[in-house]
Amino acid sequence: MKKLPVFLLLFCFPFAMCAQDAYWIFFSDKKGCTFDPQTYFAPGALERRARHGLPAADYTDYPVNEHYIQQVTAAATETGYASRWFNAVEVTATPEQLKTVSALPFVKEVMPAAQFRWEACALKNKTAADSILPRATEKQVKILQGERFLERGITGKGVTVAILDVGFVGYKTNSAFEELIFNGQIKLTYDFVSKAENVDVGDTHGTEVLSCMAGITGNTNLGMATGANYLLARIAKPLGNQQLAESRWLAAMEWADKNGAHIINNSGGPNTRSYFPEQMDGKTCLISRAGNMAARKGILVVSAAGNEGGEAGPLILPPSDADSVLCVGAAERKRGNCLRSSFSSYGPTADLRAKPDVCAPGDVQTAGGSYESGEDEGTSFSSPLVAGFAACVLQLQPSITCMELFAALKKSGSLYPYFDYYHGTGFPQASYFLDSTKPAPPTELFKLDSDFFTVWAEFKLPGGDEEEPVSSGLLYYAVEDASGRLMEYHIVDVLNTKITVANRRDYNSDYKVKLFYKGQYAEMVL
Amino acid sequence: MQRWCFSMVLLLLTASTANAQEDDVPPFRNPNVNIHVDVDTTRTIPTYGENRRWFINQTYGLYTRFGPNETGAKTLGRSIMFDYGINTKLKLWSWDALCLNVNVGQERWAMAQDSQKIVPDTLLHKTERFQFNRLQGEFYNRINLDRHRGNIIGTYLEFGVYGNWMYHNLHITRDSSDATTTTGPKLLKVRETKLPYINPLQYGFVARFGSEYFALSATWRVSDYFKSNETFAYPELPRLWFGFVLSAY
Repeated sequence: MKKLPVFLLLFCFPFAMCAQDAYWIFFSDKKGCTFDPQTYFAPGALERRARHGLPAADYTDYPVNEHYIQQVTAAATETGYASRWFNAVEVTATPEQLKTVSALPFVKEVMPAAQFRWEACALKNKTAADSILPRATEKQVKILQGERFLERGITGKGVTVAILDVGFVGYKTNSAFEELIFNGQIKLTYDFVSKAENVDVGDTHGTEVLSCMAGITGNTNLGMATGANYLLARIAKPLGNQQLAESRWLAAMEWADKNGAHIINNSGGPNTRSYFPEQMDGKTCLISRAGNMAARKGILVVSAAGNEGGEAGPLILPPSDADSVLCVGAAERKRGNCLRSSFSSYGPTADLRAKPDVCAPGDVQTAGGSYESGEDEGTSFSSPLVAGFAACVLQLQPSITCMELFAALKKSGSLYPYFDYYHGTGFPQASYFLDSTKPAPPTELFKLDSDFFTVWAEFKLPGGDEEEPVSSGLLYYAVEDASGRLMEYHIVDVLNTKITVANRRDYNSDYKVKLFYKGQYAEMVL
Repeated sequence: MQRWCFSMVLLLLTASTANAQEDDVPPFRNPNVNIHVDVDTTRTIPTYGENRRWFINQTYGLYTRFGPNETGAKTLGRSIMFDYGINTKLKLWSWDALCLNVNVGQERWAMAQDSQKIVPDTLLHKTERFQFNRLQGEFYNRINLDRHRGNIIGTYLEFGVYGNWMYHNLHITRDSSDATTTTGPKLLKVRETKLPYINPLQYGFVARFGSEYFALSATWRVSDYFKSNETFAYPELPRLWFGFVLSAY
């Protein structure tokens, strides 16, 4: 028995020495690889490339060299997905094996792959009474003026949307998708976890996300893109080891590109379990880089900001942290405009870039699993509402490019040209795309004025001296530095006729104060 | 009856008002919005956190004894050890950290009452146990199996050494009086402290396998509980404790 300590040490050491991790092995070239884009890509993918003025295929579309993969596979424990876009393969290897792989002449770079857990950005789910269902249009469609698209018969027809999620349980049988199934609008499905076509497994989260784009319960539209085509990809299990999920996400992105997706919706991603907050800078996480790559190929990636809005501070989850991914936060309607939902992640990103880009309702009606009417909460559902909205815009303006669409969605925000890290530019508004004549700016509701010390806004409030001050709307104001980075921002009820917005002595002279109140925007250099 | 009807109507009205859209509520009933956000433009990287340079957490351990008994010192399965500690972690690399755990705990050894018993004497009792209250320090190395993780504890193996001081040791026996006796105490409980045959300083090895808040833990005592001399040596109590540790943070 006295030998037991030795046994314990011997028990521990082999575990430590055999510790295996996931790595991305980047290759130096694609020598000897041949590729025919006409047979590989679906017609929609070729059309999208042509519309963006891109060649039918570029270097990043060529397959990874099979000989390279074989040699790496021989040296490593396990090989994951080989990414065309990054000319890389994900492997699981011991430190010793990694040395062998790194020494191969065609290996350009080795990068640790995060222990990736794809977390759905949903907080709660409960079935709701049918009586509150009609409010769905009020809650999630009308806020974006989606009913105006519907009145014009714009439902995203001809647009292909890919949804990457943890499972689409019940999408085949739920009556909310009856029309979608009947019309054959679900073009392709693939389960990247079990490598099968059936995605009616795992979780209902994907179904709920789909309902926020294409669900129709009774006569109520839960989303705006009921006429779009869909590609459904299951990329992760709801629970369990997700060590190779990063490669599944990449595989699904490349699959969506191959099959002609115009828009990709992503309602989840890795959180601080997988990455440090300072790594959420749009460059570190490979799926963020893939989001940017998708944008270069003409695909608009719409992604949930995350549900880390509690006490975590500013935290935008990958891939929403990428600069070309449209990051969507959750907000509710308040005083005629938007106010961030308490759970919604807010910006800026770790490298202080402005995110989220826009916001949408995060407390919504959904259909999923066996129920046709439920209530859900989370940025998971804000994202598909905007993705559906974007599909309608694409139907309306089929020649618009991905980044033009990105910029237009931001410009259509209910707060635009104002911007802050809680709301982006606010709720996208259909009127921006539908009305040929832009609405006249509101009559002067407030006047921005200053003296040597302070800057203030003077409001013309209705009524005279009230006994109890009544809010006449929300005032959004922010101070930004010369580079356009916000230093502080505020949202307040307008209760008084005069509100001081900045003390000049607190800021540099090149700082700027911006205000937004009931559609009127003003700014002043301090 | 009228009052009851009036109350019901009032209740229904209140409920319907509560269900109304936010914008339907007169503005003065809504709480005022007053949000001010100062943007942290420096973004200093913290040094304290689950997977940062430093981390401190509380630990709660519960163990049961393992291993064969020596003849003359047979212990019962209900012998347990529990402790509460403060664990400090210093991260060296993403896969390696040094840890120091200071804990207070108690070991309770329930002794079997059989004819071979010689610890601490051959007298048989209704129940008999040793109780050692101790202050313990553990120093160990933590090897993480998931090196590339975010700000989480992750999955790990630990191995190291411990030393403790049993600042209070007790020998407790309970005996029932003869059933036919009608006078005197029914139960006799004897607590003996400052046991002269106990070594107050102990040391040994510790090994754990854990993930996040939970770890399986084993300690192996190298030192002997009982002092020995030239003429006599007590048989030892089992050396292996096996149990689990919950971390709180």
